[in-house]
Amino acid sequence: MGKKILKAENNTLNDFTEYDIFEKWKKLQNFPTLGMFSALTKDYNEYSQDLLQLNQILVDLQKYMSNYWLQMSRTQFQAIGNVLLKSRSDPKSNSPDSERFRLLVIDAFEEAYSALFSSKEFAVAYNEVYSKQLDFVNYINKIVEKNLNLLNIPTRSELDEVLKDLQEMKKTLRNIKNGYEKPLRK
Amino acid sequence: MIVQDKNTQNRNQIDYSKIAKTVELLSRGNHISVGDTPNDVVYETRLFRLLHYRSLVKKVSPTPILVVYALINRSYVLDLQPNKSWIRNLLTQGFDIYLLDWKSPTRVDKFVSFDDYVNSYIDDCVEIVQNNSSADEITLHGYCMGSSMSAMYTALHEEKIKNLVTIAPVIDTSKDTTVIANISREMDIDKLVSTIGLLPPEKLYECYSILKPFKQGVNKYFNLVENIENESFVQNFLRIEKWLYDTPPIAGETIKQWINDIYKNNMLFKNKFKLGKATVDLKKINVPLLNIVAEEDHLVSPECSVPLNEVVSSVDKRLIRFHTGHVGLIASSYSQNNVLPKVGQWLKTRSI
Repeated sequence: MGKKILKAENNTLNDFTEYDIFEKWKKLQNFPTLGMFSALTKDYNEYSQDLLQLNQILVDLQKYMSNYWLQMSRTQFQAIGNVLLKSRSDPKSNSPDSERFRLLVIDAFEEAYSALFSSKEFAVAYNEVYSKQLDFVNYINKIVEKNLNLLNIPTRSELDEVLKDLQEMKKTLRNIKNGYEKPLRK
Repeated sequence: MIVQDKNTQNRNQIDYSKIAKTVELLSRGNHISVGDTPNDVVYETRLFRLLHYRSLVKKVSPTPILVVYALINRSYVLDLQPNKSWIRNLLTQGFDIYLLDWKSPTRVDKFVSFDDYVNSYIDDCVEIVQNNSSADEITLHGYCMGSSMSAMYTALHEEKIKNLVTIAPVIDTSKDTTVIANISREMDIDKLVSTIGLLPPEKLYECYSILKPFKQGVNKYFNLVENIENESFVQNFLRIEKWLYDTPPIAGETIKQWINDIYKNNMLFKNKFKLGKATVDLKKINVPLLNIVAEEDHLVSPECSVPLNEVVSSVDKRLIRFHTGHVGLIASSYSQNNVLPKVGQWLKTRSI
């Protein structure tokens, strides 16, 4: 979804190249008649597709990171501006007092950054970055699971199923236990 | 020519020895003693311990109090140091105190949900307290997320509860204006849980760091340098720091319900929150309720906690607001002098 939004908003040559290059490579690698060893290189193709996908996630992550840092730097400039304004309007600004100035700086920065952190814009940017980081970890997990499957080792998804069943069984067991223990206690 | 008075001149001189002392102190990583009030572990599982505090007075109230702590950070904030201990104060007022101390879930606990916490773990502890003290009903007393859990429990098992005392409960999240609520509303918690399994502590530290980034995050170190020779200030600083950066992860299913159902969809307040097959209906709470909120709470807005009094059916209900913060409410001199006497007074008349 994020990708679509980015594409719609930024129709620059730069964006076109960044995303298109991955798509082109993917298509090229999927050609069934490419080279005489296409059947033999099937596994390699799968891994290389994964790597391309990972790169695409990293490119997206970089975009979201830029947006995040843009908000942070903008706020920093705003905070510095606030310091200047406040120190000018301070009646005692002529006498250098480091303590007073420190409190003024902290006040100005607190004001600017609190406004940023409470804004929807920041919450969206912060969560977009984190969501992309999770996409990256998720994709690595997928690759690991593929390899575990090859080696006939239980994957995390399979273990999750077991854990879910265990938790349900614990609950059922507790209910059964309570069913005959509670009337006895009463 | 700029003329400085003597005080200003003194303030402008940087005392490098104080900075050196602070750096040394922070790099030493001293062992800080917390949770010193004598207690016995009554029951222990992989996910929680039930502590029973030894009485400090001869005559003890017949209605025991079970304190339910939050799943975030550690319960020793209620017993941080003897002269600011919430638990110790209630003991000296003659109450019989039990504490539900949550342990750290691991990946194995990914599917542990609020249903387990409320209907199994809290319920087990309530029964142990009832049996231990031979009381038919007990006082349930929660803090922060523990207050919300206590309210959920009371709504479903009211026959075991005599009084409900909540401190800063998360109830009507649509009115929560804190940074945490802002971040939570946009968080893709399903993706986080399916990828990592648990909410890692680091994510919580990130959230804490943006709560009051400069007034607390930066200013506290300046205050530490200034007060580095004041032993009691330093010890207090180190205790709070230890507590702030000591939080367990949160089980995947639990945090999913917390963010999606409670923060995003406000289901607890709308009486639609599901615990297993049961729906939590806060209207079913009829027991006496004491709800305590902090006016300067930047973790749970007072506006988010206050509606508990509006939604319950209790006739005997009281809301008290204090001019302090989330931690100041339970672990400060202010709380010892202003909050605890009122809590004790309220409880005494209802614990006979």
